Amino acid sequence: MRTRRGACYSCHDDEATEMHLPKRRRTAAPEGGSPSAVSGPAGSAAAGDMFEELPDDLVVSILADVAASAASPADLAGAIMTCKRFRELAQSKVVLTKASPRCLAVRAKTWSDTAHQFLQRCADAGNLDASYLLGMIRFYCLGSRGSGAALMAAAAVGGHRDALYSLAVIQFNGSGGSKDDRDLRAGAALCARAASLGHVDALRELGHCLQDGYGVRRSLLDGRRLLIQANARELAAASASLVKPSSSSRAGRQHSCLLSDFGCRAAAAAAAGEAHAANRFLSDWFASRPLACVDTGAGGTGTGPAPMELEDGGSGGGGLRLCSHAQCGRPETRRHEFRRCSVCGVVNYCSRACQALHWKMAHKAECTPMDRWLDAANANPEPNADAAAAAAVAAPAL
Amino acid sequence: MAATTADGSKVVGGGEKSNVDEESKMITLFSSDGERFEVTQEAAAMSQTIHHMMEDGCVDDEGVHLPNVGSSILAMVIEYCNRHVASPDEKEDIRSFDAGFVNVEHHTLFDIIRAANYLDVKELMDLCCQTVADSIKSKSVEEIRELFGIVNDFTPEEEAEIRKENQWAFE
Repeated sequence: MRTRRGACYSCHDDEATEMHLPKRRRTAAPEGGSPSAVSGPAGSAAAGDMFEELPDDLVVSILADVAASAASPADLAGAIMTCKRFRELAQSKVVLTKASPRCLAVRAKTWSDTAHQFLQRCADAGNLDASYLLGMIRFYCLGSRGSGAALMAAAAVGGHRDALYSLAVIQFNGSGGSKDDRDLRAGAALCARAASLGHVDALRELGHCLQDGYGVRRSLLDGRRLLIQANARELAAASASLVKPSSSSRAGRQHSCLLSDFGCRAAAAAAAGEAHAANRFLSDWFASRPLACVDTGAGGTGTGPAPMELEDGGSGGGGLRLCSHAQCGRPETRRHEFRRCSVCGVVNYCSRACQALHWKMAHKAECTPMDRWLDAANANPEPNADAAAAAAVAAPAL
Repeated sequence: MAATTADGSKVVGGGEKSNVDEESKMITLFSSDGERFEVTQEAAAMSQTIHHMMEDGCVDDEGVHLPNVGSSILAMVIEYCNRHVASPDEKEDIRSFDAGFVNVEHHTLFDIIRAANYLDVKELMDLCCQTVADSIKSKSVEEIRELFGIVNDFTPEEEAEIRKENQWAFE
């Protein structure tokens, strides 16, 4: 095959002809005037699109590494916006599946259709974190219970332990349905699966369920064992994430929090810093969209959080409330869905795990039956004074 | 003609016809520009391509010709393989070796990627791709284009549309 200038483009083992042009190498252009090369701003003649040399599957590989190690969505978005080829190759299933949780961490204040589509594409590609995150957003924020639950279920089937736990909470509360839709046994089963994968909240939740015989056969010993396991995991995760040069891992050091029902405050604080993107999204979302507010009680002391009770009868605000554990972010899906602290009646939780966390981080210092005493004193003096006193005394020492 | 391998040891060529030396089990590799490299079979086997050729008995007395890999790049790949085969358990040393290894110009890095892809050396591929990924991650769009010489082939309208599409990712 000959060009107009007579250059011969035949095989290499051909006899070299006088007109044989050397094959132009893309990487170096010692001879000037290489039309396809674009000189960089430094004016180096060797500059060209380096990625042109790489076949598509290698570029996809590199983009997948970007997605997998991204610290925020911006890392991948920056690559996507670079040129058409990157934009196209970044749609590939390989890249979307590998997107890390931090790469997917949409913030509520920048939520948009395009963010929604991105998460949807990642979920369709089989990214479990995307399925879970989108499921949570759809279920709680956008009100599509069915598709939200389905997405979470897809993640759960794949072994995503946060999805398993969130579905358990939904089952325990009958979220998205009525009080009669609560399925304690299903909730406990989901919790057990999440717990077996090491989910700290699920371990704690299941531990309390076993102690109370809630959705499972009552077993104090097994419950206790799980609570301790939850504490141990929480401590281990906290000490792994805390960077302490003069570390405190003295052999045989006793940590009294290990035996507590509620765990260690410091560990919980450390865990809170690593809150899942889904919970953060929910908290941010409902921070800017109105739900009924809950007053926090005045300060006081107590030994442990009271058992929760269902709030029946309409005391307090109309509308829905948020779980009082701020890092959770879950809202009620119907009135009086969540259960409240039976001592002060002021805070309410989606789950025992949230109650435990909130207790050790804040509520321990605030819980007091003050409002009830006042209500009781103002309403009917004699009989309710006894009832109020009995309620205060009945707060169990846990 | 004697050639020098990357680690500086001289290898005598031409004397012995068979390249399967009983003591060290060496194999000869030829780069695209005809330079000759002697490596241990163990190091060469890090390349799945060569490994399969050895297994299938496609390696003759002369050695393996690699028409797609230049000598300088082949030398680097061999250096990598030698180091990783020598002491695979010293994690810290290997990590610092790897860090120094990829501290090269991007052109060279891309050549290594293509060579590692052709030779199918998985660890080297992963290392280099991750290095490129790391340098993409921390940069703005303009900086990425500048660094890799990428041409912006979006029209202004397309660019505005893309920016809007991805606005959610930037806080």
